[in-house]
Amino acid sequence: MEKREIVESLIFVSDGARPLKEIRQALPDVTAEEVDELVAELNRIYDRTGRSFRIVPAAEGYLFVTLPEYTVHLRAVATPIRLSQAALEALAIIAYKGPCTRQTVETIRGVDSSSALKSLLKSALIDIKPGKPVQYHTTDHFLEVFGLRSLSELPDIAQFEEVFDVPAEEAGTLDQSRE
Amino acid sequence: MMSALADVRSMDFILHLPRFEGPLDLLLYLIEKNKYTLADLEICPIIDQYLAYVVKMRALDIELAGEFLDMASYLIWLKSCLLLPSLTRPGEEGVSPEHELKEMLRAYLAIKQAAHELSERPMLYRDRFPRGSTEPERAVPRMGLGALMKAIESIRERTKHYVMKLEARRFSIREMMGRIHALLRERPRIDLNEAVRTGEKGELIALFIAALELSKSSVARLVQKSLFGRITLIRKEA
Repeated sequence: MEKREIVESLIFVSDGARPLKEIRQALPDVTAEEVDELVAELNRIYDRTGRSFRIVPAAEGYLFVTLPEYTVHLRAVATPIRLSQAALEALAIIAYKGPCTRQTVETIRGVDSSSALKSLLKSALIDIKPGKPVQYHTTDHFLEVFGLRSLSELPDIAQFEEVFDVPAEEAGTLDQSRE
Repeated sequence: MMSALADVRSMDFILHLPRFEGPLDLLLYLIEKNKYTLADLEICPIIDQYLAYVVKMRALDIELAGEFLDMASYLIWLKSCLLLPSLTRPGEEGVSPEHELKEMLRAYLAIKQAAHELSERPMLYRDRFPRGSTEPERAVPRMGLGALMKAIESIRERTKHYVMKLEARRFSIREMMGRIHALLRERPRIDLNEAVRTGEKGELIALFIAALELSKSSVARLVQKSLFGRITLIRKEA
């Protein structure tokens, strides 16, 4: 019983996701699977008692987040973040091909991307890896924002590349992003 | 190009088109509009429509990013390649000229789809909120004016420049010439060393040049009996 509440307190106090590493620092005998189980138990309690939040995995750690039904109310007191199409594309490139240079981003997009990169840096979704030439990579914050445990959880890009080869009748809308 | 221009007049719908991120975006739109896929793509009509778009946008004085024009010239070149008879010998398989363009389009489309998938995920600060704040953490923690002033002060301390003022001593050659001349008035034969007062490098150099000047103006004769030996000045009688 106690271990579970210790995990809960660790995740509660953290600024952003609490890394599994740190949970294990506080509880050296506990395994990764155990932490998962304890988190699942906590979520069951929250569910039973009708709490407005759950714990979700993100960035090799765990995070308290609100449930979708409360989003509309929270938006009343927040300005939800919005990523421009350009920023989203640049972000996808960096996530899938990163670490990569600005050149890579601009070659794939076929257009200048400096303002997109600037806004991504400002939102701390990407960071710079010093060197010559400068390279960009996604941050842990990126993983938190998109609810990914790690970059390996990204859907395989090969499935997107194949769309182009499928005959028109089967493809349906080629470009979903324009819907 | 003529056929493309003919379409221009009927292309007022251009004003209602979505905003394109770049030339590749526009090309993908056109390919989709024409219901092609990469496999059965007919490049030439796409190129014509692309060029018609660019022409129309410029006619309407709407600004287009430079990359659209770069692509336009690339596409014109590509079209001419496709229209000219192939130069490859029979049996020789070459990479078709539109292959590069198709690869660029494929890569960009894949990224667009991936980006779309990403944005469909529940996003923090948009669809769900973490414990703590409805806004993403600001990089600079909230601090009062006092703390800020202290921080500025400590930065100023750290980056203080220590300035050393070096005084450049200048020696006037004219002055040195005067000095040597005065000595020569007393005695017809003097050692250049005798004119030295402080022994600073600058002074020595000025004295030496002064001695050369005096020799040039035939006031004195310079003699040095041995390598690096004493330099003697002998007064020249008028």
